[in-house]
Amino acid sequence: MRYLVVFAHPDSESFSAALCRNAVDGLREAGYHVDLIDLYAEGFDPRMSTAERQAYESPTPILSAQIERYADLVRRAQGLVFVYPTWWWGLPAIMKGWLERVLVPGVSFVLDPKTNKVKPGLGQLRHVVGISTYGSSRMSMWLFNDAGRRNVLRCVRVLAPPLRCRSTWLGMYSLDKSTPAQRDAFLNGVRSSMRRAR
Amino acid sequence: MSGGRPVSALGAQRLRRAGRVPRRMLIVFAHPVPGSFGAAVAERAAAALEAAGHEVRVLDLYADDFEARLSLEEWRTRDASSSWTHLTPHVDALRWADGLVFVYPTWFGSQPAILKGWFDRVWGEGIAYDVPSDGSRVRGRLTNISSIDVVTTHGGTKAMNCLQGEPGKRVILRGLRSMCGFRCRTSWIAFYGNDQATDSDRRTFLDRVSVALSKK
Repeated sequence: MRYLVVFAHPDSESFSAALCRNAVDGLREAGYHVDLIDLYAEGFDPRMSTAERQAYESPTPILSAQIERYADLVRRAQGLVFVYPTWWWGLPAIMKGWLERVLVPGVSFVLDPKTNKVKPGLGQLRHVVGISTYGSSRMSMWLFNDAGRRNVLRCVRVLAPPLRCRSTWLGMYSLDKSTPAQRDAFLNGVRSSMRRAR
Repeated sequence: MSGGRPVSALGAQRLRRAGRVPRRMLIVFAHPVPGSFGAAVAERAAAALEAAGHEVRVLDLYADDFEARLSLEEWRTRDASSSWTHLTPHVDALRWADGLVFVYPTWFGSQPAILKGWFDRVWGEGIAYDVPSDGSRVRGRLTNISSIDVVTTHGGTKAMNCLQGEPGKRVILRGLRSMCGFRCRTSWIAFYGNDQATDSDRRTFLDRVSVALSKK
C-alpha cells in the first residue's frame, strides 16, 4: 500500500513535527511506501487564486506543476494521513487550503455533467488518518465541535468508498498541560498504530 | 481595507426614532473573483447595513492580499501577539467593531483558507483571549462584539453539508462566539445548492441578505 502523509506546522522542532516523523517511521516499518508533503517547508500558498477559482469547473482545474504533483500523489495513495496542530477548532489555513486547491474536480470527485452534483472520485482510498494536537481538553473539543476532524473524516472520507475505507483518529488533547511522559506515550502510540495500519 | 463609511442620514434618523444607536459593523469578506456571486453578496450586505444607518468597514482579504499562513516567527512569539505591529489594521478593526459579519463561500465544509488564516493570525492571545496564569479557563477579550452574522454560499445541498458535519458553522457560531460578549447574538444566513441554482434563486437570496441585515 502507498500512504501519503500531509504535514502542517511552521516549526520543525515542534511536537507535531515529532508526531509526523513517528507516523512516517511507523508506516515504513510496516513495509508501506510513504510520500511526505511538508506544507510549510515546501512554501505552499493555501489561497485559491482568482484564475484557479475561474477554472474550477472547467476540464483543467489544475494550473500549476506543484498542484499537479500533489494531485498525482493523491491519485496514487491508498492511505491519506493528516498531521497538524488544531488551531481555532480546525485545520491550520495552510492545510485547509491544500484540500481546496488539490482535491479539485477530476482528482477527488467529479461533477456529474447532467445534474452538476458531486460524485465521489477517491475510489482507490482505503484508509484516512488524522493525527492532531489540541490545546483544549477532549471535553471542550466535544462541546465546541472538532471542525478539523470533520474536515478530514467526513469531508474527505465522503469522497472514498464508504464500506472499504477505514478511518483512524489519534488526538493528543490538553497538550499544554501534558507531562513529558504523556507526550512520549502518545508518540509511541502513533508509531505503533501506524505500524499496525492496513 | 476601506475606512468606516459615512452613515446614511436617513437610516440614522430612522434608528434614532426607534431609540437605537448606529452600530459599528465589520464585514470580513473572502472571495477570489471580483464580480462573482460571492462579491455581489458582500456588496448587498454592506449596502443593507449602511442603509440601516450603521457605520460599515469592509475587510476584503483577497483584495488586501492577506497572508493566510501563520509564520514560524509568529508561532514563536504567539504569546505576545498583542505587541505585533504588522497586523495592526486588522486588530484595530476587530477592536473597533461591535458587530462582525462574515461573508464567504463554504469550501470543503468550512471557511476558505484565507479566512481560516485570518482567525489563526489575527485572533491571537492578548487580542481575542487571555490565558490566566493560574491555569484556569481561557477568557474571551472581544466583549465589544455583540453580534456575529454569517452569510455563506454552499455549492452542495444542505443534506450534503450535514453529512460533512457542518464544520465551518461550528467554528464561528460556537468557537469564535465564545471569545465575544456574553450576550453576543448570532445568525446564519446560508445559500445551499449553488451548483444547481438559477439566477432567480440567487436574486432571491440577495434580497434575503438585504432584509436580514437591514434589521440589525
